[in-house]
This record gives sequence, structure tokens and C-alpha cells, in this order.
Amino acid sequence: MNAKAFSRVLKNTIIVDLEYRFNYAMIVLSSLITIVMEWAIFSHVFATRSEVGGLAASSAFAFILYGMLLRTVQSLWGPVFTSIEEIREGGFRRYILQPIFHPSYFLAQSLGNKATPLLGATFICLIFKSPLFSSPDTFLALHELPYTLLSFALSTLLLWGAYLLIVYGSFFLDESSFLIVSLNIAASLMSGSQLPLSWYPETVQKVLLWTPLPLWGDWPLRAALGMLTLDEKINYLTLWALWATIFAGLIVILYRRGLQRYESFGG
Amino acid sequence: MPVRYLRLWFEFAKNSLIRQLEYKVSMIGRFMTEIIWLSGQLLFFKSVFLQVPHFAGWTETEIYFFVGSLYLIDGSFMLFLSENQNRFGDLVRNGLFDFYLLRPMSAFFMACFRHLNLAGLVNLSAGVGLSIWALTHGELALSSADIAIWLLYLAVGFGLLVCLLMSVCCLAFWITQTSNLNWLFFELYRLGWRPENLYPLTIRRFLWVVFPAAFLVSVPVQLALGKLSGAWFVYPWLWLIVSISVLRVVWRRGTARYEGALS
Repeated sequence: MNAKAFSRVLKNTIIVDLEYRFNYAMIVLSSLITIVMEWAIFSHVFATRSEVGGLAASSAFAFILYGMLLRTVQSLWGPVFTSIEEIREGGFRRYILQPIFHPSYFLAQSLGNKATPLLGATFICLIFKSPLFSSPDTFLALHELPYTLLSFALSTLLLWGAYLLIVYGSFFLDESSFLIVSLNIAASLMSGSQLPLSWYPETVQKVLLWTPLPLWGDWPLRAALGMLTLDEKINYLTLWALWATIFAGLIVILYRRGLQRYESFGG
Repeated sequence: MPVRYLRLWFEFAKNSLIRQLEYKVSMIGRFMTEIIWLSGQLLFFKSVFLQVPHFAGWTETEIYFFVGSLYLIDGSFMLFLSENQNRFGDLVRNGLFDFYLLRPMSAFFMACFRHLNLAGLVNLSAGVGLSIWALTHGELALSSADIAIWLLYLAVGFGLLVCLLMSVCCLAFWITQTSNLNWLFFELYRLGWRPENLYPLTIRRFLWVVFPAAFLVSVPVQLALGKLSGAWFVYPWLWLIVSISVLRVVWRRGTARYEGALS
């Protein structure tokens, strides 16, 4: 799939998504409610303390905002369920008959699907990060910006890779939609994007280190808050490369074997 | 009459069970999803209480009592209402609501309780387990009268939830697409997943006066724990009366307006 075709799919997805304007009003409302619900806890936890579990009170609100932004961008529903349905109902044959490489198509669709929610969530962040709501010292330091953007992008790509694994898993499984919901919930509640990972019980932290979950929340958020040392930045990048290689390998295997097995109807 | 409806409800439950057991993997998957969600919520509060012993006047056991009560209400919502809520808009739009009106029983009862979502049983069981754990933990020391108040006001909260939800669903008689309204309802309902005294005053007022999510779980729990008293025993009933009246009007006018397919 060349760059021109990729940008066409991207543009088309954005145009189709813009048809559903009410969805974006709901995404903004949902984001605001999430901020209110999390701030309800954080404001009381930090009421008498300047720092809790490595998170400074001055950064607490920024943590909530960036967490909300990250979750808005990362969580995927539409392209994932569409792809699973295509596999189930035979529509996936167009990727065999036409010169379309499904992983690229999926990426273009996902980017297009997330373009306007990203704008909405960024808009909310900018409003709340304005001097009206936040003190200037809680702004993201400019020199942290490149690494933060990189960590947000890589983290999101890795999670989308996990979604793609489930999509290709549906070549072999009769029912996989619950895995998507479970992945969304786990990535939202256990990745450190709702609460700093350092607040979790030690045993849970140790278990989570063996999973890619910290890469989906803890890493980009700590990067955004300037809480990572150089060693930690390098360690996280290495860890990301390791998980990305595992995911990419599995995706290739499942995609190839799935296509061999695929008989247009019924997978 | 109630016995007949109870028997009918058991028939609906049996039918839903058979239908959902046809897709065993799907059902196990939905159970698994609920378990992950419940564990995530518990982990959230456990992690917060590892950092601070209490906040906003809530101790760890009290919060678990609140979360247990929340699971009870949310589990009941999932078990009894969620499937019916999702289907109601389509029923009206496609004219299948005709079959509800033609049957020799209350169409409202059918609309509310025809389908069951068995995944709600996971939340209900977790709610029962967590509430019993919190109650027997020693710290709360609730009398049997307090427990009776808790159960009574939770039932009122659930009644309120049914009325609010069905009032929103009934808007399907006037507008074509209600899924976004259901989404809006769910987002506002989500505000009730935290004790309302954690929120700033403006939002608390909103949850008391505009969208009464505070009366679903938070107020019943606080009444049982003795954190609220006096007029707070009356407010949930007032809300229930108001929401029943609104629902009656909306339902009557809606069904009178309904003309079969694409009304």
C-alpha cells in the first residue's frame, strides 16, 4: 500500500467520522467526566500532602489530563470490530483480491478514527493547562517534548499492535470481541494511566513488569511529567523494542497462517 | 398478579439463559471482562489506600462497602436492564414493539425485563461478597436497622435508575436514533460511581438536583453509615415519586404516539 493510497484511506476515514458530530460532543463530555471523577479522588489524596508515591501534588492534575489524552488516543473500537466482522463475514477477501495490505489499511483507519478525538482531547488539555486552571510550572518542559511525543506515539502503536493480534486471532477463534473489551479495560485500569504505577501494591507492580502494560500508560505519562532519568528512558525504549518485535513476529505469523486458512466465509 | 409476573420473569430468565449458553465462549468471555473490570476498580482503591489511610472522611472499609453497593446496583442494572435498554430503540424503530403491545401482559414489563444479561451475575456476586466482607470486617459495626436502611434505600436507588433509564429509552417514540442518548445517560450515571461528597459543590448540586446519580449508591451507603440523616431520608423517595410520575407521562404519551413501524 503506497503513501498515496494510505493518505486516501486516512482522509476518507476522517470524513466519514466527521459525519457523526454528536460522537465528538460525547467524547468531550466523557473526557470531562473522567477528569472530574479522577480529580475527585486526587484532590482529596493530595489535600494534606505535597507528594504521594513519587507524584508531586503540582503534577497531579497534569497526570490526569495526560492520562485522559493518552486513553482517548489509544483505545480503539471501530476499526477493530470492523476488521473482525470482515474476517467473519467474508469481507476480508478484498485484501486478497486487491493490492491492499491489511495492516497498513488498519493503521490508516485507526489514525483517521482517532484524528478528531485527539483534537478534542488536546483542546480540553490546552484549556485546563491554561493559566486559568494551572500554574505555569506544571507545563510540559520544552526539552521533554520530543521524547514525550515519541513515547506517546510508540506506546499507542504498540497497543494498536495488540489489537491487531486479536483481530488476526479471530481467523482461529470463534469469539474474540471480549478480548478487545478486556484489553481496553486492562490498558485503561492497569497500565498506570489512571493511577501512577508506583501507587500499586508491590506484588502487582512486579507482575505488571512482565507484561507490556506499563508501556501503555506509565512510560508516556512519566515522560510527559519529566519523571524519567536518562537510564529509564533508554530502558523503556529497549523494552518497547523487545515487545514490538514479539508483537510484530506474532502478527506476521497469525496473518500468514490466517490467510492460508481463510475461506472467505467463516474464517 | 405479582405471582404471574414473577413466573413470567422466570420464563424470560430461562429463555435468556438458554440463548446465552448457546455461545459458551462468548459468555465466558463476558464473565472474564467483568472480572477484569471489577478487579481493576478494587485495585484502584487498594492502591489509593496504600498511600493515604483515609480521604474525605472515608476509611478503606467504608469505601469497599461503597464499592460493594455499587457492584450490587451496577450488577442489577446489567442483569435486568442493559440488554433491554440496548434493544428498545430498535424495537420502536423497526415496529417490533407491536408484538409487545399485542401480548396479554404489561408492555412496560416486557420492555424493561424481557432480556437478561447474565454477565451481570458476576457483578452482583462480587457486590454481595464485598458488601458482606465490609459488613463483617468489624470496623463498620452496623446494626440490623442500619442494614435494613441500606437495603431499602438501595432498592429505592434501583427503582430510580429503572425510571430514569426507561424515561430516556421512551424518547425513542419521538426521535429516530437513541443510542447517543443512552451513551449520554451512561456517562452521567458514571458520576455516581464515586461517593458524591468527593466532588466539588457544583457537581454535587448537579447530582442532587438535576441528574440524581448521588441517590443510586452514595446516599444509601451514607444513610446506613450514619454520615447523612434528617431530610436525606426523604429526598430519595421524593426523587422516586417524581421520576415515576415523569416515566408514566412519557410512557403513556409515547405509546399513544406509536404507530407501528417507523412511527
